[in-house]
Amino acid sequence: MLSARWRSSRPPAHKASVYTGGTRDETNFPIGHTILVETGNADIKERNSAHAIYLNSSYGYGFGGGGAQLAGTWRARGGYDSPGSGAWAYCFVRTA
Amino acid sequence: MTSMSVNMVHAVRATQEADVYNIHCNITDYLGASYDTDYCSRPDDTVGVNPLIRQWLRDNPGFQIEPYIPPDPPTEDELRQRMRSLTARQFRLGLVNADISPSTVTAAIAGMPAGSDQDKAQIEWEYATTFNRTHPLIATVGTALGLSDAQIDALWVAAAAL
Repeated sequence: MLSARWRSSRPPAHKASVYTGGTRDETNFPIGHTILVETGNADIKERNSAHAIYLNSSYGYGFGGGGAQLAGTWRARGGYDSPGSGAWAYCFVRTA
Repeated sequence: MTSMSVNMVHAVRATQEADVYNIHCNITDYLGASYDTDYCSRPDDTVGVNPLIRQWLRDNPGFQIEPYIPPDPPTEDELRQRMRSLTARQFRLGLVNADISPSTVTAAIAGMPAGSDQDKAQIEWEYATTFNRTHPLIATVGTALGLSDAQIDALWVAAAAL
């Protein structure tokens, strides 16, 4: 167990910033970066809940599968159910 | 901007990737919110609280790291749940490619016992614009046409590429 709070001595790393890279399979995004995550039919992710997110195929992100896991903590910021299609997608933001 | 921190480390689990860990911990995030969460720590990640977590791992070499346990493979139902939905066009073309004409489906629905199930199947067949693999109509039509789940799966995957 860790008893003391550990704080960063590098303030710039605390700030939300803009991802300027262009790597298809990037896993280390800046704080505040948002992504769209595809999930299965009615696989509900409640607002602000945290989930492990993985690279999915060559174009998306998912909640499982064989791809690399994204670094950090990612929290849900809202989802969308395409009526009748079973296609659900959620916005996630890296928070830490 | 609030200072982020790692307040407590509860558990460290290995992952399928070398030197990548899932850390169950309590953190304060960039908005100042503190909560228990799972944090994916990658060795080359330099932002957020990851440098703190990496330092903590170096400072606590005796902390027990739980081994990676692969998740159970998905069941057939779970795999079907994950299949992409088909547009009505894809669904009908997929049926035709499997030598099942739309008129055969219409006849199969007409052959169902009269009642709400038949009415619903007819409405879905005529008016649905997209179909899930787990859509009730699929099972109904599949049964009426004598198709196995595996045959429908194969049809579905092929149709998704049309």
